[in-house]
Amino acid sequence: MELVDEMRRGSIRALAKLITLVENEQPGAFEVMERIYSYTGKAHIIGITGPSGAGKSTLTDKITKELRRRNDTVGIIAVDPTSPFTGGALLGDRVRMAGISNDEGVFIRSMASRGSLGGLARATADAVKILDAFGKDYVLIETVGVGQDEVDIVKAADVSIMVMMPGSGDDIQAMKAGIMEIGDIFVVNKADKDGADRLVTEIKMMLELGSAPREWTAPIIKTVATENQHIDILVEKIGEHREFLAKSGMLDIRRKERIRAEITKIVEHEIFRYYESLISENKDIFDQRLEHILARKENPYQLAKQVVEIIGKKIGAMTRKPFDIGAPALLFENIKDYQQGLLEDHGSQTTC
Amino acid sequence: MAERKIRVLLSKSDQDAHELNVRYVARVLKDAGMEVIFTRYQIIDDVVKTALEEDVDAIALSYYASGVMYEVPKVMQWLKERNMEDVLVVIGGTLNAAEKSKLLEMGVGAVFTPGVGTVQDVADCIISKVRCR
Repeated sequence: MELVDEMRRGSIRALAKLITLVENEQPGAFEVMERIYSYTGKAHIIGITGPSGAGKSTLTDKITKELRRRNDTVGIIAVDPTSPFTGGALLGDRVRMAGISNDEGVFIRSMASRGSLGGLARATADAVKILDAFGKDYVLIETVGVGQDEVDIVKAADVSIMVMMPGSGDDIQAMKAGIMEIGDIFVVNKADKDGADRLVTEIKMMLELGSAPREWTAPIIKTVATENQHIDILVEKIGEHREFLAKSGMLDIRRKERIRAEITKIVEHEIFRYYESLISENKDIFDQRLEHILARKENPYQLAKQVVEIIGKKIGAMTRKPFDIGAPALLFENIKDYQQGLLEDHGSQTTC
Repeated sequence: MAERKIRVLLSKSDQDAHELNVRYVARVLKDAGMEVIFTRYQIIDDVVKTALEEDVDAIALSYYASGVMYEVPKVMQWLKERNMEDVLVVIGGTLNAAEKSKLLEMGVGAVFTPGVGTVQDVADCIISKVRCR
């Protein structure tokens, strides 16, 4: 694929176009990801999450400046939520990264979550890989932590940084227990505000109350990102954590889990697409069945079971074999044909 | 299959203190279903680098101070050089008729001035011009 070659040769335009291609699931997206996969695995992936207003974007900016000072190249993906009502999004994180925005060694891409419930855009993991394949030393993922986000970002990153600020009203107790288990480094930003020390203590207590002791003790760092205070310490800690991952063998363990989670996501998504197209192809019949269910003439479980059987048969028909878990290669080959077929059937809905 | 999202780079000069209007435009574009990348540029060069990285469908620039006749030709030139001529450029701000026609001549897709049309028109214009490319 030309775009992939161009990207590997250093073309920013190709890099950007590839991210768009996979984000929009355009034809060829699957092949692109297959092509670049062998070039990935070198970049260190840093996840930065936390409530709105904690200073994540500013922190991302400062961390990047420090990494650049050490001559590393950086890719940044800043994720913001898509409005569930309008489908649009305001991607304003770049505003706080003005200083690094015109640095040739830094690539910044803003992404909207596009309905992804986990908060990370579905395509974020793919975009990270493309930046990795491009040759970036570090890839930073910045996202708001709401609900399940934190867990998502932990799966996607080698090191997860949880950013909080004093007096935000977030009682630690109210925060999901999961965060405390999975954060690798905690940052109390805007540490010049009242309550910073108290927040540090609260985090310490929560960590101590947490489950089985881990080999890595998560450090808690106070920063004032806007004044570049303690950013160097934070970057040192990222480095220490990276060494720990290598020495303890945890890097491979975590990455293997990431691959497992990714495969699950991809499979779920592909099966869901079969389901979506099946329903849209049979809209009226499906609607009728819904009416029956509403009238209690049948129940939703029957319908769901039937749909699953149909999907199984449909996939089986395409592979010309029964839906057999032992034929995964064939299954994926046909998904590409199926995607192409979908594109040809539906095409564009606009008339000019 | 759902229609592709339209990505717009909405930007204004750091030097220009007028921001309320731009923020309102950002809101309207977002409500129209677009993904709006909002930035403030220190030098106009930043805009093209950003547009390149973000692979935007359109660049919308806001001018309430001077600089438009100096900066926009540069942007049009760079887009041409970088093979990005299919990126729609729209300009909004306090411009006179002469400036407006010069901008349209150099390839700017649309120019919006205060009092002429609504912000919703900006959104509709971007959508129709991008979809019909």
